[in-house]
Amino acid sequence: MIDKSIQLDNRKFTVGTFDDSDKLLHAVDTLREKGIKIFDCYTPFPVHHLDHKLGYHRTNLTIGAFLCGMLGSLTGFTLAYYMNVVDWPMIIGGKPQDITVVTSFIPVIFELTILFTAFGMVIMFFARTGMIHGIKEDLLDRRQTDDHMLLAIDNAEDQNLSNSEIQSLLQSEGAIEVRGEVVPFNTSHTMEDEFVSKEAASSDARVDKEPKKKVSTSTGKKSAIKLSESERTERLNIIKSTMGDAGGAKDDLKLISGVGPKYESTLNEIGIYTFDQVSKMTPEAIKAVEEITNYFPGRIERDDWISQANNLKNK
Amino acid sequence: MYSADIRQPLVTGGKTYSDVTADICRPIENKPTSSWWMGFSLGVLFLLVLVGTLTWTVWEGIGTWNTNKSVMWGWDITNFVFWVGIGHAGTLISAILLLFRQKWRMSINRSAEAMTIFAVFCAAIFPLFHMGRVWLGFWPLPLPNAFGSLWVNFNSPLLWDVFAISTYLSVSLVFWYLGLIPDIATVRDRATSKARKFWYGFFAMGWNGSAKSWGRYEVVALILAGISTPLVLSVHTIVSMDFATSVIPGWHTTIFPPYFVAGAIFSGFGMVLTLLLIARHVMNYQDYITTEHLEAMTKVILLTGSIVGVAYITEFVIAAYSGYEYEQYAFANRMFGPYAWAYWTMMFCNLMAPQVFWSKWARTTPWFIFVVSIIVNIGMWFERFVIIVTSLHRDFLPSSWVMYHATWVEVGIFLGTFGLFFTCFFLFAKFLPVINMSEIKTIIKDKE
Repeated sequence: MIDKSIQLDNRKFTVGTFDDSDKLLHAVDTLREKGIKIFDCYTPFPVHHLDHKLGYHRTNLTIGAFLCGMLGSLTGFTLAYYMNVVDWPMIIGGKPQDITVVTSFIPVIFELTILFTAFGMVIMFFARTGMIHGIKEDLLDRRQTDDHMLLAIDNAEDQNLSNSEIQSLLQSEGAIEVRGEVVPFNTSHTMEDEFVSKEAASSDARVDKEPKKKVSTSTGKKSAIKLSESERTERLNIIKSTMGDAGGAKDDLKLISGVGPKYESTLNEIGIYTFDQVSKMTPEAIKAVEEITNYFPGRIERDDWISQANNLKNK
Repeated sequence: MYSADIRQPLVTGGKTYSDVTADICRPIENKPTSSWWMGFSLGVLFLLVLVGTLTWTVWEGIGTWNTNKSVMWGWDITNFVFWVGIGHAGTLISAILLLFRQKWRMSINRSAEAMTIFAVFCAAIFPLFHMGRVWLGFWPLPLPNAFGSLWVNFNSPLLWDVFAISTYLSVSLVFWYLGLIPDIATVRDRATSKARKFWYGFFAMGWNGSAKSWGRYEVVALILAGISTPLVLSVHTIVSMDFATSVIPGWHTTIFPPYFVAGAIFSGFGMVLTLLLIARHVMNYQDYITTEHLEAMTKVILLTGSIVGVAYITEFVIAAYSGYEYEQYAFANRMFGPYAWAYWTMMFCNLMAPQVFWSKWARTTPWFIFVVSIIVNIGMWFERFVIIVTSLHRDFLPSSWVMYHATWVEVGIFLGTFGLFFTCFFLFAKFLPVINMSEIKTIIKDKE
């Protein structure tokens, strides 16, 4: 039941997220052995053999490309023959201007063959895949074009295992995250804030339908929650205990991608001054920093501050 | 990690998938650096020179150039062939090396293809303005003639050139764009500003990396590579036929097509190396464009440089052996005539200089490669100059013998095309991923 197009309409999916292509391939194998129908996989790069394992046939685009090429040859021949032999014979050096002159049309015929093949095939590829400028992309994970590999199962599909069994199967195959009710969303037509806020009245109907799910599944909440004094101290303690003291030193934190002058001073306020401190961040500390500074949730990990800071520290 | 016994790792620094994304998106997502601004402004400055000199050419007429009735092709066609040749490396890297499954092409193919496109832009300027009345530039197209039933001449290599170059440009553009789509989608999904979301979203065409579309995508890329390979060979073959199908001594040789194609790849790799050595340094891409890559490219330079060298010598021997005094004179004149300095510059730059790459040290020392790549660029320009000007300035009739030196306008147009080329390249480096992320990710493996 594979759709021809990359558009996902309003389906709901069970999605297993992998960070390793071998695990993904293995999971596909296991699921298919158990007779589970996989909707499709989403990867940031072409994973070798994935399409075979999913049972996809090789595309027929090559046949289309060949036909386009033939059309190109024919066009080239007709063009040159009509113009130089039929309509206005151009006699050069007294040579006969008939079918024998076709040898000198070969370069043009050849170039038009290539031109028609290339354009014909690419246009057919776009048409077949449902790609066109200006459509909204249907994503199931913000990082599926970065480093997450997804295995998606259409929830409307009849399966011989229950949804929770499928989910635990995915888990046992080494998925780093398994989500039950994922609705496609897009990144290019929604702003960060709308996208994460529950109340946001997004123009995109699909976003409206399942905003909650998306909130918890994508980047988490960009909480505008005011922390109480005790909560604040608690988080400051976590930060202090894991990241240590700057000891009077100060680095240019703006060199970390994601930190601007304003955020740098916010970080300084909570006692973070050096790359060394940033490099020691634990997941707990990251959470604490995000909450205390109201920073985009997940962004610190996504931009990988820790290795950035490690690199900068060692410069 | 992808590994081949004969190669070092192609991506160093223990990169993860997200490191690759972050590293390669960094120039797009951050404000341009001061070195970018410097390079870009310099490019724009020379672009203005191009605009100025072309305007003057059109305003005052083609007489502002020193081309004359004997040397009717001077710097303009030299530059045309030079720029078209430079483009060839891009297609070689993206198409021929794809068919040969050379994984090292992955970190350089994007920028080399971009170079191809910008170089063909630069090349197209010369024949177009050489027509004199540039607004009639559409005349070589097979359109019904407004003044009678005359059509374009399909027996003419110059018309073949029109078809070859325009096909080459449009197919390269499609190939390049197709390769960019998954990476544009990556930038789109990381975008924070409204404009970036919109534009990258627009050009990503809804790409979401589904396995079904990747399957098709790879087949399309393979077929495009398959047809681009004969295309790139045909383009410079046809360019060489502009010369070889004439009866001018020094041009009328059957060796021209392979010799021109090898020369094109040679000069293209020279330019790729020049640009990448700068880009790798300025953008800190040493982990992606490693000395392993540089070494592989210098080997291509060594090979094609030697082919070109053999062609020079063959050409000379055949001329001497031909017993045809005009052909013999043409070559003697190249070596010892008034343009001997150009001939020997060419011989030094193309035949001798690349031979240093037999040494491992030379192949792996970036600053040294940079110097040699510049020498190769100069040498290949002189090759075209020697072929065109020395053959033309001595006509069959001694009364038509002339000397040809470029005017400031011709020099300005040539320098100006570098401005166009670099302006385009700097814009590309700012707005598009310079390295093909989705391909690079197939040859690294995430750390556990």
